[in-house]
Amino acid sequence: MPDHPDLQTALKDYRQAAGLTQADLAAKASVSRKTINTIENGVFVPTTVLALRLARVLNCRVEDLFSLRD
Amino acid sequence: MSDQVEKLSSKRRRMLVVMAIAFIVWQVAGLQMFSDFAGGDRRLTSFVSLLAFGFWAVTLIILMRQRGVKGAPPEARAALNDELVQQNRMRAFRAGYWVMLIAAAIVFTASLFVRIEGNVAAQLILVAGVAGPMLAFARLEGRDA
Repeated sequence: MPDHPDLQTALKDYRQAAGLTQADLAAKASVSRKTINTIENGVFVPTTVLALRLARVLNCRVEDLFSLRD
Repeated sequence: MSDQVEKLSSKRRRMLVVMAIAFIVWQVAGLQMFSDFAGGDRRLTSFVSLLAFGFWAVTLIILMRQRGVKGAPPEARAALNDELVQQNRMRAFRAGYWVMLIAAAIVFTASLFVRIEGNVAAQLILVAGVAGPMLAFARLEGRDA
């Protein structure tokens, strides 16, 4: 069950656009593959630090990866 | 690296389950009250308790010496203690609090019907408080694996 139902993530889209697997992104962000999987599924909400790290790896802004539902 | 992280995470999870079960068996089988309930030989329950203590001690030493990540590169170590793991750890402690409360309620209710010494009650509640978070953490870590 998602921690924050209002939060939606485009992490999977950006990851796939970058040609990365979950394992690749996990290695680049120094987290486990499971962490990436749970973020993509909305089960886990990362801290600001990890969100910034993911945005840096994917060369985008945090707002591109995470947003609130209307 | 991802495979290594998942293997180590899985190993840590399994060890925690073994450790928690061994701890429960060690503590509960060692109680005189348990022997009385089981109606069995006190020597047998003592032997089971001692065996469980052995298992618990060995897993504790392995976990303390290796911390489950011996020989792993720094990236793998970081991934094994990432934000999700830290959140799971906090949730496990929270679950442990509720397990302790429930254990206390059960012991209190049981004490209305069966004579339970204060030290035994405290031991049972502590066992629930120690084993509960370990099993909860293992379950949370196994989720979405």
